[in-house]
Amino acid sequence: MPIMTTEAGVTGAWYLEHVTRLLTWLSPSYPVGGYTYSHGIEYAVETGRVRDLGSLVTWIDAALSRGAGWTDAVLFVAASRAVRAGDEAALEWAAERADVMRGSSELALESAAQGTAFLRTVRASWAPEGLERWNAVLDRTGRPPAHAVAVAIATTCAGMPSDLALCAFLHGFAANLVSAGVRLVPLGQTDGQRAVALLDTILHRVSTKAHEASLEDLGSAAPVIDWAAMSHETQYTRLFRS
Amino acid sequence: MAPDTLPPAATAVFSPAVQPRLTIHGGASVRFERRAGATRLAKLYHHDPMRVLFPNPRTGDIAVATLVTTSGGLVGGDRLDVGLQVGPGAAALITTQAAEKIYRSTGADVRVTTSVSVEPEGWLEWLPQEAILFEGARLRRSTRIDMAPTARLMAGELLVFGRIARGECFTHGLARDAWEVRRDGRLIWADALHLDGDIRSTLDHGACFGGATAYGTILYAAPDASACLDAARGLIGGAIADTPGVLAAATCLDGMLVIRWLGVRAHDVRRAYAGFWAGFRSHVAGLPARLPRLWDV
Repeated sequence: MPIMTTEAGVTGAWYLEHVTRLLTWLSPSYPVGGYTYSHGIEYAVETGRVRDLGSLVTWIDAALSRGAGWTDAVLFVAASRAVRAGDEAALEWAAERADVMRGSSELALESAAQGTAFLRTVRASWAPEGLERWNAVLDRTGRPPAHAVAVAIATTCAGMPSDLALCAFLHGFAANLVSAGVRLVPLGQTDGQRAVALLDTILHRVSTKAHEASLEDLGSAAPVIDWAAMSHETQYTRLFRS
Repeated sequence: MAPDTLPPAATAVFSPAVQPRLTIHGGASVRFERRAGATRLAKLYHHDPMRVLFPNPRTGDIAVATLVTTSGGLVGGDRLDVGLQVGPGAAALITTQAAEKIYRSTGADVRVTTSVSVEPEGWLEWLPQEAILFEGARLRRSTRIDMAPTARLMAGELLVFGRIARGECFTHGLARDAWEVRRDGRLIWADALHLDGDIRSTLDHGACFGGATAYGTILYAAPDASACLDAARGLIGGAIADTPGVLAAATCLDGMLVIRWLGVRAHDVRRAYAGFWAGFRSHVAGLPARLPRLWDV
């Protein structure tokens, strides 16, 4: 049954300021350079594995459900819980795993470069309370922040529930790859939005599962994406950095 | 944060693949050291059903140890702990005598834990034969590697999804294979294959396994690893030139090469994987471009 809302029912609601922050931080215009990464799609298009709307959705579904999207989702929840609990050792553990669990050097760059730019920009602009403490914990690891961990920290410091924040993060990840696919295949803008709509259900399911997952089961099962990302390193003509 | 749970106490296991028997907790530990200019066995421990054999190396080759699991396969609840150490300046290749069969489980996981350490200037090849996951098998395998900054290591794993020759496919159960590599105490790479739930759809999925029945990884961690990336790519190209069903590629992460293999015919993957290994050990270490005879089949 649809939920009926009235103006009085939503004005001043607790989540309104979260919505504007998430729309900003995970927007394609947020200066993290997301548009330069294709997560192996450029090679998949070159070799005919991604060639239309259906195969693009299949690729991004695998990244979300079985690949880096999934491991990032689990580590996002772990980082968010660590910040909420004030548990610095747990955050270091998640940050370390998120740094090294990467399928190829370009996938590592995709995560680390966006995470570094995200954290630098949020610290210099929105600066949610408590962010500096967790930034210092990340510094101690001597590692660049993974994009997922940087967003988890900032959104948790801003008081957001992790399911809301994670869905926004996964939406940003998926929408960015759809955009890469639209340019590479190429596809029309309407097909691009069909892909975003099809992936929406999937990413909500991933977020729910990530909140229930055990860290003992952290892992991925999408080696074809890793293979494509590795192969992209030697692709002759490249527009994207992954 | 994610500790392995302790092994369950020995309990009877009923599996269609084997007669009821007690679960086992076996282990093997091997240490090689360099003494008087040659690599010698320095420590050896094994506990049923594991044994360690030391076949004579082929002419011009390094010390070899072969791990044997005499139980003929592993069932849910079984546990193996393997420790492999190479001391300063020593050089060894450690392999296994046969493919490890992981039988259908009634619920419990098989746990295999391998700890590898390679000390300064040491060279180790850890080249186990493939693990064959029977339909319904449950495997949790973890490998932890500790490297000195000047140590060199080639390490690999191969998983086969089902008894392919019998037309069997691995469609449900658990395949977990987790790796952690530390250099000078610092974690440089972690990876975990985690296959559960509807495994068939993940294996068939075009962006997950693309119909592969075998999946392998080879690592090369050494001070010269990044400089060997192009050579590795060249050898991969040669190894898969005649086998269009095999996908393989290499990358370099934090001074370590990671090479992935997957393909629709397990036999082809194994042959390409072994061919690459033989060529690569020759390229980076000047060793003979061949593997122990057990790999010739």
